[in-house]
Amino acid sequence: MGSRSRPLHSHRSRRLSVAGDRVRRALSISKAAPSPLRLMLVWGALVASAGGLVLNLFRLQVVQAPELQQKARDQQMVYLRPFVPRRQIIDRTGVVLALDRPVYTLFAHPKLFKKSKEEIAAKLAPILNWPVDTLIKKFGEGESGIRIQNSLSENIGDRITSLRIDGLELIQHQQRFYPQQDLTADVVGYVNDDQKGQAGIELSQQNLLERRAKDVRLRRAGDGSFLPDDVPSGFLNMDALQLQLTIDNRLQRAGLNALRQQIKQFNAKRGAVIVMDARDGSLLSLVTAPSYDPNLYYKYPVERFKNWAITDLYEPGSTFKPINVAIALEDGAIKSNSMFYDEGQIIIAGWPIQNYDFSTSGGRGSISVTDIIKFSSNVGMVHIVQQIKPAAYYRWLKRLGMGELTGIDLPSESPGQFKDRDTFINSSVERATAAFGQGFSLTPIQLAQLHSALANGGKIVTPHVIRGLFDADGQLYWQPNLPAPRTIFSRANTQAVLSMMETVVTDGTGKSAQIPGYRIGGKTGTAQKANPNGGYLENAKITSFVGIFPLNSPRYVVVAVVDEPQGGDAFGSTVAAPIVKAVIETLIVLEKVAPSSKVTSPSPSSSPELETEETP
Amino acid sequence: MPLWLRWLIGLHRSSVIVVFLLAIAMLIAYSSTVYTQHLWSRDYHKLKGLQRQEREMIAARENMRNYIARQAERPGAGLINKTSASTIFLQPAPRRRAQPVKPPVPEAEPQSSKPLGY
Repeated sequence: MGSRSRPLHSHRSRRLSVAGDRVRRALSISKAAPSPLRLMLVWGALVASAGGLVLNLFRLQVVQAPELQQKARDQQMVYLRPFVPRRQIIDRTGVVLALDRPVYTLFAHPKLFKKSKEEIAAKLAPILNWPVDTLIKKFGEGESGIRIQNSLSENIGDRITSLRIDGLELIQHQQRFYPQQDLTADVVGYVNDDQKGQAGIELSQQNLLERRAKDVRLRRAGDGSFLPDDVPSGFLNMDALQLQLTIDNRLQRAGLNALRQQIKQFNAKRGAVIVMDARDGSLLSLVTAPSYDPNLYYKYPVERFKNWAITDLYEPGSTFKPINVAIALEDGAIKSNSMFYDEGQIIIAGWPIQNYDFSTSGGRGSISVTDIIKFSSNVGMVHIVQQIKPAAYYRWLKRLGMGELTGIDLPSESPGQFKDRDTFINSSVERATAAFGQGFSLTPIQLAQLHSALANGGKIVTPHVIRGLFDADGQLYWQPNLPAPRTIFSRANTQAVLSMMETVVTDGTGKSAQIPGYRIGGKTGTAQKANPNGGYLENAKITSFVGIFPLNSPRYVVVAVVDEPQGGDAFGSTVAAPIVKAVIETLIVLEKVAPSSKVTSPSPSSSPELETEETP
Repeated sequence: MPLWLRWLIGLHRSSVIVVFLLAIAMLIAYSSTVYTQHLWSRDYHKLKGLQRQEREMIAARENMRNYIARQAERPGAGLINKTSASTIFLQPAPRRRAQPVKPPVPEAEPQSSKPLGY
């Protein structure tokens, strides 16, 4: 067919041949040109894959969206529980008595272990200071949730984390740390595992000490660092307030040492020392023995956790006599130079009342009020109180707060026990025993409060241990609102009683509290303990001593009470007075109290010289 | 070229520049956001570290204080409590009589050679 067409187009053969080449070439291209089917196939494939992508997008964005978002959130978001410590408690000198620190509890989940138990135990044992065998045995106790150790420090926690072992879990929680151990346990108290105060300031000032912070949700970047875009405002602004007490740790230590020594020497049951600043009622020291270590509170019997100087009542005995004299003076029933006849023993309403030294000294005859205090004459006190009208005497005692709470800022204070008005007024023996501090009871802290009224010129102040909330620069932020002091006695009358109390120390029953060069007022007390079933216990007594110091400008009241000292020579003068002396010695150094007279010789003979020193 | 076309071309050119500038601004803004977040995160860790150090130092200091006090109480420690007998009280010096201060004599004004006025 080709050979026949060639002659037909011979005159244009060249051009044709060229054109034919083109046609041929064009034909060879048109062989690859789209056929509708192929076009449809390609289009279909593209549309199908695009549709697939859309479907997948739909699946990811709509169907699985909640689940995937949750997964992403779990990876990126962290619940940050900021470490919000309970406020620190510091003493008046700034020494930290209680602080919070984070600790870790280590759990093991052996079913998640990726290495053998032996391998993990070998790595963990040196950090925990455990034998490897014990640790392996511990891992064998269960599949998961084995508590390995509590209270691991932050450093140990970090070392365990850096091992990067699967199946170990560290749970952080807070722990209260009391660096001074048993020194201030009676005041500070302790918190339990749930960070709830169980005693002392930790219990009574829970709302001041506790700080709350909400959990914060933060996004986390790929490298584990936090992104701050969700941080609530004020997230980092944690106040640095500290709760400051009026307690002085050095005085506390001196009191505790002196107390322990006497308790050991006289084999006593327990004891307490209180140092109060009479001007405002702040307590510089409050110790009881035996005490406890609040870091290990669970190792001690429950009765240690109460501060018995605040919770337990006792009959004050002779330490109450100066209060009665102040009442009689203020009532106008006696004068400071009145004389009374001391028979040594009298019978009131059928009950015999005698002086403690009646068997040796007998009656003292006509003696002054000062001598009644100096020799601690029970009979003389009964005569003084007989000068006061019964109703007035009752009213005075109630005004002093007998049978009521002192209002101290520590928990579980007990109100004193005091007879009702009718019994007291109609029973002469009730009033007679009240004259020398028996037949009613109060707490050692209330005795300190009453004596501080003598020291500060007649005002009843509220005992307290909290100075306030202070920030890191020592700026006051909050102060407790204490009731205003009530004036009960006049300054002249309290001065008269203080001079009487001075003779107790210079040449009366309180000689063992003498410190050369210093004027100290004091009063001993040795009382039989009341039997819960009525009457008094034969061999159980409670000895006490109250010191007021320095008499030139009375400021500090020191009370020492020792319960059930054993031995024939256990009196307020032998058991409690040396404690007060030791505490005052420390107080002199701490508060830089200068002597009021030159120390010529450290003998009691220097006392008349002291008397000439006039109070300002 | 018609005016409207020229105007459109001008708009196109200027908008390219604006877009370019905006893109740069966006990059700067974005990177600074990321950077400040990074800075915050770093400083937060630093703060946590310092707070922890503070805690540990307070605990260590108070532990040490208690330990030393307990050591000092031991009978063989060779330390004694400070007492009034071992304390030196210095008498404050007697108040000196106030020296009468001579009233300051006003110094004679140096004669100025300058004329008071011109």
